[in-house]
Amino acid sequence: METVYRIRRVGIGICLVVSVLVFRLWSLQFLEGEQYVRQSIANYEESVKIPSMRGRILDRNFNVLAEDRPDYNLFFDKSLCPDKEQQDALLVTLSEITGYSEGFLRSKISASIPDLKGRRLLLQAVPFHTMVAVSERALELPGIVMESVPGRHWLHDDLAAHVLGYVSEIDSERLKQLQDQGYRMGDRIGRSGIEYSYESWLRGRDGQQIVQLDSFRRLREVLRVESPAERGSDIILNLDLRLQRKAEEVLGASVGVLIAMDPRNGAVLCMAGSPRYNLNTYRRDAGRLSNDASHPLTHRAMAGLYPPGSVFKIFESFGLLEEGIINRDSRVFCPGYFSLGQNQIWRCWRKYGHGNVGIVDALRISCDVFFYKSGKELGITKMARWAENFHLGMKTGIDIPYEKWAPFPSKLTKRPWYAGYTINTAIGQGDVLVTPMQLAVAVSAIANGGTIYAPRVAAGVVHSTSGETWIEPFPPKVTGTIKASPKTWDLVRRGMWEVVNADNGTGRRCQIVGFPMMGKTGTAEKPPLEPHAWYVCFGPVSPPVGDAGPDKDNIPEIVVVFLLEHGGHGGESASPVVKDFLEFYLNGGREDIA
Amino acid sequence: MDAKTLRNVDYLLLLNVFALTAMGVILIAGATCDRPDMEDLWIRQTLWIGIGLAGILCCLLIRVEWLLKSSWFLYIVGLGLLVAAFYTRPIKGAHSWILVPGLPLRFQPSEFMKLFVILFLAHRLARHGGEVKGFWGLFEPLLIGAIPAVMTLAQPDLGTAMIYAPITLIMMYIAGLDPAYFLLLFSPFLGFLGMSSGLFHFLIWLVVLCAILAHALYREVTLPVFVTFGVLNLGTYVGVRVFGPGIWEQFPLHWKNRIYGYMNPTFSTQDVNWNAIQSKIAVGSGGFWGHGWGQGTQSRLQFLPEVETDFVFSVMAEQWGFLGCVIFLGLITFLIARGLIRAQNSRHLAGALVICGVMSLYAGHVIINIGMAMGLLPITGLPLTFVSKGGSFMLTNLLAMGLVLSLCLHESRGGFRD
Repeated sequence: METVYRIRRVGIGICLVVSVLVFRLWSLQFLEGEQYVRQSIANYEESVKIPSMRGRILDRNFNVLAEDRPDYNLFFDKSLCPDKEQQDALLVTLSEITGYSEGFLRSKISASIPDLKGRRLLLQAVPFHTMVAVSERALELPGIVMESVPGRHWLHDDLAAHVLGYVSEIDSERLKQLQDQGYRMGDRIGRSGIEYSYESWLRGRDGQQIVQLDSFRRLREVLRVESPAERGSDIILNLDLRLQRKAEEVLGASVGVLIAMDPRNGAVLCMAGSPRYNLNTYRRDAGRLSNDASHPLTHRAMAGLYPPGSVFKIFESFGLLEEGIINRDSRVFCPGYFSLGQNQIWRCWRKYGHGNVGIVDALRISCDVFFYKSGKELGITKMARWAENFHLGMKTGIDIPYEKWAPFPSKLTKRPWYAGYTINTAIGQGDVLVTPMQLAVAVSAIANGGTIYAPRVAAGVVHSTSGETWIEPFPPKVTGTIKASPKTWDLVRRGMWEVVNADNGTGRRCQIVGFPMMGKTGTAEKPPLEPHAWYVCFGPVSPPVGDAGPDKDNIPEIVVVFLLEHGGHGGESASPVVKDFLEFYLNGGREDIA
Repeated sequence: MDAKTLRNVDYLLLLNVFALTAMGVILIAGATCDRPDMEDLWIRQTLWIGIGLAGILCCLLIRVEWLLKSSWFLYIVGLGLLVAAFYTRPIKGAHSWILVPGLPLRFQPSEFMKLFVILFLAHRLARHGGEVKGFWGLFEPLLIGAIPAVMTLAQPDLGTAMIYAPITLIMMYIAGLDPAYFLLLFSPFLGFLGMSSGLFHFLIWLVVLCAILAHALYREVTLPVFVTFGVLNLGTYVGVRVFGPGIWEQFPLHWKNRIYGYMNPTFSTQDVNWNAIQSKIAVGSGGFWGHGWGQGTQSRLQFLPEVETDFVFSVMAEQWGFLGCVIFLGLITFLIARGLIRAQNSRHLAGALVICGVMSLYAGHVIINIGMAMGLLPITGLPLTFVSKGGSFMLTNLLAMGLVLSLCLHESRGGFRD
């Protein structure tokens, strides 16, 4: 009987332990169940980015200049191709298609880390023909997976490269600054040009999706989309594609800048710099480009500093006339040189001199002696103040980053100041340094009768919300005005009129029948090299008559600033090129632009 | 065997085993349904169940007393196989398997050894006729259980080695071992008080030990036993006192991790507690109805390791919920209870001991495996009876059932002579 009791006690013991198990089961599944459900969800759920499409960049006629297109990335998925021999055959085929060596591909496989889907990135953004070849021969490439991600494409390679700017993955330094704005590792960001300054419009908003991962962090399925990706807004430029292309064509292989601007509102119609670089291959070329002696990465139009040479005489004339140093009847005798004291001699560009010249003649023939003498009388302080009235020595406020400027020379920038410096400055030499864009802004102010606009490359942004598309234009921005008497205006404009239209005007080579213009040449000495050749002009204008001042109702429609680095004399080498450019403008597309 | 005999088979037990193994196969199929490497696991499992059922039939044909009489021989053969396992190629670092030459087949001698130990123990313990006493009465069954346990531990296979303890102790208890001996058996563990150098802990050790020894004297424990345990206790205490603090450093890292993890259940890294926590999450997220067959993220997304063996109960809890688990526990508890009742009614001590041994084998596996899955016990790796993957394991359990059914059958036909 004792045995029976003992067996019973064992049975009861087992039942007790089992009931402890049931109690524990109940407590895990009911009392703490919710917490464990949460933990199980936390195990597999992960929030993953859906990359947004970046907005396009369009020219003023809605031609696409830059847009997002799918880039094809090649991945290697080992689980689809576990066999060693198959892998070798695959690499042979792939190296045949892509041109990369087998060893290179193999090293890529071993170097890259598997992503959420367990794949290793092999090649990024393969060219189109490779994509086609890989998809055609998919059967021979069992472990190769192709996936498209949005990538930036610039439709005209190097066209307006400096203006458009490039886009690349955000670096860790900027990431630290911009984390609050939702930037994450691997996001793209505009690095220069329009891509940089209108980043917030172009960027769009990345979406978020919740995916299911297994314990090896491999993606199993997409559970739900938290927020869809929002496409970035398109930016419309004031730039005209055809004008830009023509400007780059006339520049050709020579180093220089051609800017066309609308003096009525500061819109930049074209902004060409040479040499340029190809935006689409920038990532690959970056090293070579930054070591290139011709500095193709420099945006010369707004980051290149040059002495303005005789072009400066226009702005100086305002000072001379307004400060009462000279008047309409003042005459200076030019013997071909100007001397200060015994040993210091400044030569006029014409060896034999110009004889007796007034202000209008001095502008027309660009007499240096006239400006040496009267500039010395004006003095550097007033000269600098008038230059700054035209915003020389200041930033123009253009909507593209990394603009350069140099302070206008004065007793503040250089001491001790000698009278000789003033004389150099008077013909735009010495320490005077301006960017072509600064000149474009100042010349536009003369063309429109005294309003200084901040140059605008972007015209507006295209909003598309809930199916509706509308354009929000960016308004012109006035940054200053020039106040001068009508008499002064008339004299300077008369001088600029004669530069182009008089028989001995330095800019006579730029005459276009039916399109009257005013202009000014410049030749900035750069010994021992050839001088920089400048030519600035605007049109159409009516011939100046009387003392009426600028015709506010009839403002010219285009200002052109042209610079040829080491190009020789402005009148001889620069003005014919501008004529070529303007004839193209007049014969096609003028209506579109105006 | 005639039709009349067949009618006397305990069909309730047999049906129960059918139900449990069927549940196991369905569960395994659900746990591995999107694991391409384990697709055919449930088919192999079914095959082994088929072989096991054939084994049950064989058991019904023979009489267990023949096996009992030759149990010493079976025991020796089992030990031989355990030794042989050490001379074969290790699988996953353990010498647990013997590869059958020429066949794609391997088996685990430690599983079958459990049966041989149960038979041999029953045979030896039954001699005492219901009252186990004396030095050899205590140490003989202990040795029978401990030898294969130590060999299994050396394979190494901690889980399977552990299961010999409940089997041996329960069988000794039922065979009539005085409870005072159990107190003596566990008294050396008091020596761990020696980890502390405080006088207070020393006094506790002294007082408790004296009480146990006094109680043993009162129950007329023989002198050799008394002396042995006195020396053992003193030895343990002194040993722990001298080597104790250093002993922790000597443990292998994964032991330390497991013990540390068990002491700190919320601490989780890939090494420590990862499995235990994932298992609890699987059980806890199951709810009443569960996620359904083949569903459940913990098992499907492989957060849960060893879904086909050690953590098969966690899969059950996740996929079938509270309901499925309670049905499973109900069935197995019923099976054990019915087995024990049949043992109670047995007029033959050795037979009753075999049944009790088998039932404690089942109970041990079920309780340890499920306790592990629910974070009650440290993770040691022990399969779940009738469910977990493993041919040797399934076959052993079914053969054990065969022994029980055979005993019940012949008991009902008039029993056998002692």
